[in-house]
Amino acid sequence: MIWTYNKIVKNKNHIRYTMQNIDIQLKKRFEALPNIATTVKKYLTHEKDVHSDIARLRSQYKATNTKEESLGIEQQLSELLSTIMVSVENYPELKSNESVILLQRSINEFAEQISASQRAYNNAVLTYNDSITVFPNNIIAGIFGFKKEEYMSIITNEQERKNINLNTYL
Amino acid sequence: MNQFSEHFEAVKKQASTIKPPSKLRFIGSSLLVLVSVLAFIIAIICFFVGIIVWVIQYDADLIFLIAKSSFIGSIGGWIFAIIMFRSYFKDTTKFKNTSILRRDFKMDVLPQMVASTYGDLKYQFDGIINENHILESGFFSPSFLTSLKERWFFGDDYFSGKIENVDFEFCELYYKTKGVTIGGWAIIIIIFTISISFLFRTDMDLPSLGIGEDESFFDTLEESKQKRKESIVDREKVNQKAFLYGTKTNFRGFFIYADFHKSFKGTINIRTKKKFGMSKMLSVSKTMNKVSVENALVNKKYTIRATDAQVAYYVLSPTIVDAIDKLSTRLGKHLSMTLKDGKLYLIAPMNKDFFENITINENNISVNTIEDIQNDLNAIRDLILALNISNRIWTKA
Repeated sequence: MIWTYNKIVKNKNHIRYTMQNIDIQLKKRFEALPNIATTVKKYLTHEKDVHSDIARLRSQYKATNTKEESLGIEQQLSELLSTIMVSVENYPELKSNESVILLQRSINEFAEQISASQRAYNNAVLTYNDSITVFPNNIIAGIFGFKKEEYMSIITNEQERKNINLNTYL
Repeated sequence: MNQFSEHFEAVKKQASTIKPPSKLRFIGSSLLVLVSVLAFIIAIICFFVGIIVWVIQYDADLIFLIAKSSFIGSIGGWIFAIIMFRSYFKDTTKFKNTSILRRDFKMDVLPQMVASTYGDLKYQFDGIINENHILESGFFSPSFLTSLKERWFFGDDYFSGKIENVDFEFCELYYKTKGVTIGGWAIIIIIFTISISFLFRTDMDLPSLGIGEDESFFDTLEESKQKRKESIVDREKVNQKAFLYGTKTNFRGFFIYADFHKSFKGTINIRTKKKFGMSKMLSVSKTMNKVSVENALVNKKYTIRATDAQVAYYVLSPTIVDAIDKLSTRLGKHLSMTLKDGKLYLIAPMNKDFFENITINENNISVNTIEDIQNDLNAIRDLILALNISNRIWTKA
């Protein structure tokens, strides 16, 4: 019984750890993107609001308290970044610019890292949910009030990014 | 490719003259063993019958003569059968190692075919991937008993260069060991145990085993290499098995070392769950974290462990996981991979010998066509493409 309880607690702690990882990756992106966006600002004059939108979302993200709120902000940022990508597609002269290429690479890199941390989180949730639903662990989980955790929908979709086909001009 | 026709015609001509040893020799030897066993049984029966007859005071000379003759015949039969078996297996091994104008093919024909298919790809017929890369991959970490053996790698058909923007090295790899097998150690331990009991009974001192006197009890591959310098390195490509002592082929297949398209620090081991000859060699470190991916088939076929789960999921994107699934369908589920510090190491055991002008079958030698060789060459490109690592859109320069 002690062994099972400890195992469940360890699995629950692992979920917290992977959630922290997502948070770290999101923070990294919020911190790095404005700097990179500044360097390409002069090239993206037609997208004046991008920079201020990133700043707004960043401050909103800092003020979030729940997982759902932070993921909502994350979703908005991902959509915003997608618009940057599409903007670049519309201006072929930008495609060869090194700063823009760096921005695109960074967007993709952060998206990959966030996607990886979200998948790690979902795997931790799967392990935890399994550990509290199998017999006889479900009895112990019931006694101590362990509840099932929700999976996270993967926001950054690799396939969608691939459709932009950046590599054709990198 | 018509310039190679002359070579293949000459090979075909020679191949038609080479035959495997007759199966009758094997059947004959087996029959001889059977007759020897029967003769031995007859000898034993006659011996006991003779004793009984002699006890009841009848003339048993004839029965003893039959027993004696049967026994001598049995021993003679055994000796003759062993000689016949040895001769048969020696000839079979010789047949399996047949080469026809191999040097001409590897030195003249194949390099031209490689150049016409891949341009500036480097090819070396007896080359091998840098041994450091092979060891870094972690596929060939020896167990305790294996570390006591002589161990060596040798390669064949080494390719290196760039395909579809991917830097890679490829070779057929053989990993062999020579020394006492598990069976051999079992016998040594039994003899040793018997000796110990004998020694205790006679109140004698135990001999020193030497363990602990030498700090480096585990033999390193370098030391193993030094030792074998004095002897000729066995480069036999035929699968070898050792009973109590001898040379054993632990791995025969291909090895790919490639630059991965993402930059990362850490190790991810993807190991086949299939138990076979390499199972011990491929054992994964239990200290690494187990990782499950979204593809159920990949989870079923492979054990994935990583130094860090975040890195593992970053490296094993859904695209790469699908690529592993496709590769395992094509190459068989025995393939294993290591992804370490931005590099990819892949091994797949194979019984087929690639890039040869002949294929040695059970009963004959068939000559490969130019198309067969071309297919082998195309397989390298297919493999690199299947790995899906050519799309370098990430942070890696």
